[in-house]
Amino acid sequence: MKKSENWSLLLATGALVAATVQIAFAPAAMAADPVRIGLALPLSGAAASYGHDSQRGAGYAADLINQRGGILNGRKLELVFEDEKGTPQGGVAAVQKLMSVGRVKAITGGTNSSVVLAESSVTKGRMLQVNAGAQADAITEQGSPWLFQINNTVSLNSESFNAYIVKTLKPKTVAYMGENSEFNKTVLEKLKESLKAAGIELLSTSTYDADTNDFTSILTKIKASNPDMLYVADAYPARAAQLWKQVRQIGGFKIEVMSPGVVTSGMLKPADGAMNGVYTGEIFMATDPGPEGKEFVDNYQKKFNILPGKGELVIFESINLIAAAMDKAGTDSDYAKISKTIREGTWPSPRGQLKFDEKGRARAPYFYIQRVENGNIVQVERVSSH
Amino acid sequence: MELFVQTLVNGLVLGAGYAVIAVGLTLIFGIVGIANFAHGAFFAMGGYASYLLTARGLNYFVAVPLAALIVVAIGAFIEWAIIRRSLYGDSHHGSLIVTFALGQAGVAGLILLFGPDPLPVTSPLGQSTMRFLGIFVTSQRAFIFICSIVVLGALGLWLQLSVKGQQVIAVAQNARGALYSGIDVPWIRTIAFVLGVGAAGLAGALLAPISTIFPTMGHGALIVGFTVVILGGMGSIPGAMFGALLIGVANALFETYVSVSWTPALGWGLVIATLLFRPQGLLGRVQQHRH
Repeated sequence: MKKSENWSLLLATGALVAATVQIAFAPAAMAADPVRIGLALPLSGAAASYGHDSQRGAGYAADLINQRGGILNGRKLELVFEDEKGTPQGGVAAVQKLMSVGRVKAITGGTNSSVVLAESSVTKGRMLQVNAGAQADAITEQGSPWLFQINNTVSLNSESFNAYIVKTLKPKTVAYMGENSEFNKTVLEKLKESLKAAGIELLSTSTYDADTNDFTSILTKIKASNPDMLYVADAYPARAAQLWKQVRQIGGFKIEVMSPGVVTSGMLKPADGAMNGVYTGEIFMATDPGPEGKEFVDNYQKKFNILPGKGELVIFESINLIAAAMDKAGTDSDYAKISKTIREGTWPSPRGQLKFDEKGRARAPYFYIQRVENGNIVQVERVSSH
Repeated sequence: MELFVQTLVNGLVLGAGYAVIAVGLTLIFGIVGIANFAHGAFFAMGGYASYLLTARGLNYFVAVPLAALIVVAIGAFIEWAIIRRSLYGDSHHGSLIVTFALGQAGVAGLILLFGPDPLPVTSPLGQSTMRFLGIFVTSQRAFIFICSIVVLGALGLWLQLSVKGQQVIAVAQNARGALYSGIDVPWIRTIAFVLGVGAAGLAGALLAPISTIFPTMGHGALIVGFTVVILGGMGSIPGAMFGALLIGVANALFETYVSVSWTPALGWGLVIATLLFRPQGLLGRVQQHRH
């Protein structure tokens, strides 16, 4: 046998051995494959700061889970991020890419309701989706069995907040103004219901267009009707800050409130003190997280040197829910089984135990009534939702 | 009656703010023949320049003219690097595409530099108001009103009385004729573009304490600017002032006495009516063929 033939034989044998080894070890390698979770977040555009907050909160949740040894017999979690640019079409493109190219097993993220609504049309009947932050009722109204929501819906937030308005603040007359959006329509409907039931008169409702940047005439008209309370519904930080500055310029109102779940530091900073005295509500407060949340807040602050906001919290809870439910159900892709497990279980979170109803909605264990003082949010009252 | 007078005053001071936004747009269109879709980005740059200067401890009243000068410098560079090379003598389609792209790039640049969140610009006038016979005006709005009249008045006088101003008008009326008369047309176009952009920067710095600043703050300003300019007459400075006050007062009255929700439609309704019945605008001249 020639020398070259020897080499050929050796190579062929080597290849055969390598193939055998690969086949033999393939199941083991599969078992160690990470479970990939897709996050569609606004990483660019006007809402990018929400996206970056969520990215940090999600990363923190995944790190903790992986440190504990992962899920489903030692498989690590791997997060795949995609930019949804804060637009519905961006959301659809991001989710499609995560599902096809990213090979993810679940989708989460969500800060804007219209974006999540668009995304859910892609995931419906195809994949588990956990909406972390978007609040519109319509998202979980559409009856998608594998879609869940961590944050309170607008209705739930409004019910808790309106109860405080009618029972504690007790205005005799109210004027409402807010951006003309799907989100605020629910806020206004709920406000009308609560005020009517309590016999409080709603003097006027002024809904303005998204491009409005001067509110002087609207406020002059409201001021002329002399209401006890002004209710403002606007989730857009720059516009809301501007609106409150103009409220201050015309001398303000006896009681001033802002729709719950929208006041962030990004709104308080440009308001430059103009929101002082305004009441609002939220599902979480890092300065009084309750017994279950103290450890989360302390560790988060130690690691990142900032207090976690609601955005970071809800995405942290989303990742934990997906991981824990897959682990308990013993599968990463039997979505019917995972969803059944989520509905039937009780899930520990920094806010306490979360339970999901038939529509897939969690109700916040606590609701915080807050007031703006010296440009910061302070707690007025912590109300248990159960 | 008090509500009516208050609404009227609200409309006038609001309109004065619109006038400062629109004057630069009308100047660039009237003289250079460019529909400047980057106007909103220059407006935002003025806001951010005033923010940077006041954040470093400079008095707001000093920061406003300096912010306008910073935008003038940026505008001069862009005119030299892009506008001059691509647009003069080109069709309106070219100006639309190039200035739109410039505007988008400007906003993207602001997001990269400052982030997407709104930021406050503090004016010593703060949230203070002035009251007279039961009618109130916020001090910052009153300041904008005065600035608007001074700037527009000075611009009008400069155009009417100075040699350079007359040359600018000559170029606006007939660029080729002006060239044959020995006027340095490219230089006049540069002056007009830079002045218009500077006016946008000034408007941004003036309105920043009221509106807070954010990268896309110019979008609304651009829409208002175009509405005013179409109404008043493209290229007409008195038209910009008149159109701005008209829209300001009409909006205020409509918001108070008709419907807040329908107010944005009012501006467009006026624009459509103007285009149908008086396409050159209320105070504009019928456009001649431009060379």
